[in-house]
Amino acid sequence: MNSNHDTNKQASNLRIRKSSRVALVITSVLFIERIIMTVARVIYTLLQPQVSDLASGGSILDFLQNRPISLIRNIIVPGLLGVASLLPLILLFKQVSRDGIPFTAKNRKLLLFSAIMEGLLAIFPVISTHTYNTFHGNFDLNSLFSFVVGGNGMNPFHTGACILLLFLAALLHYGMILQQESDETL
Amino acid sequence: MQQETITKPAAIRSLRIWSIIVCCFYGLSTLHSLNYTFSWFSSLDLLQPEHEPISSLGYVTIISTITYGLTAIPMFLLALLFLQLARNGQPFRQINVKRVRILAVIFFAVAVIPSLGFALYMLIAGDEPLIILVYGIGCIDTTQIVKGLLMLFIAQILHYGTMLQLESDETL
Repeated sequence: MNSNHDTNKQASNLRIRKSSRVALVITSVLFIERIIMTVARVIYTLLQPQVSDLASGGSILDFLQNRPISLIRNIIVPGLLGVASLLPLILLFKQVSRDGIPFTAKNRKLLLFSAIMEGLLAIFPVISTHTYNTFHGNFDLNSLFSFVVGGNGMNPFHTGACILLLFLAALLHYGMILQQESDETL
Repeated sequence: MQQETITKPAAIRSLRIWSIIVCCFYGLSTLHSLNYTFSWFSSLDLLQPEHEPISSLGYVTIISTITYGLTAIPMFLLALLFLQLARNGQPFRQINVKRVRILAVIFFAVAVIPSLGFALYMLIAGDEPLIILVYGIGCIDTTQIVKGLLMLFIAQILHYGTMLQLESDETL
């Protein structure tokens, strides 16, 4: 009975390793895609106004001096957060594809980090807009209230991802306890 | 051992709390998907006899709306799954593994069904097979496929956890 259980456990470990490899490939592709898209958007934004600026006698330096905040706020920070949310997942899948054990403290931490990044990605556009408006004297209390109370303006995809990752972290925590019990029994 | 008896219920409690939150999120997402689909259909004046034939662009819009409506199904099932988890606080059960696998299949179906519909429409319209193939593959929703693969991965983890849970129950 025990040997049968152990065989099943080993088979399950093997399947986890295989599916982790698939997940690792997909996450890596998404990671590279996000980096490329962020760089492409930055280059596009830098080059796009250059044409009109040059036509009116300006240069790319004028653009950088005039609107660097918009570039950082709309492209660079969301891009970096997106990359930062995928990197821990790549490390997690790499780790799991090696040892086949998902229930470890390190994996839980990686999931939590990724969840925090996704959460920041969900709320960053709204917070940055309100901060920007406040600094420029266009503070809108109604939209801030609708964000705080109803979460209006938050990205639903990243919010969902954040919540799901936090749930998975809790699941891994419970699994860690069971894994510890299993190791101690053996 | 004393520490463990404190930690395990705490972990289950945390799991149940997160299950409630995820359940609420997916419940709201289901309502949002249904609301979007129904509001679109009510605005579409299809029932009037004098309406013009649906254009290619109109068909694409219908397909995207159906996709949106179809995503309500796995969302609703996920909400039910998490509601069940919030109730009993036992994630590592064989029934949950099966449910998550079924969800993965539904996600794959949601990704492919609109594409098949679009290909069928083009076939009836008499388009070239190569164009049908290219547009049909282009209409496959890759996000849903990634979600399906994620579900399969979670199912594997749950399956492994089920074995650990069995060991733990037998030890006690």
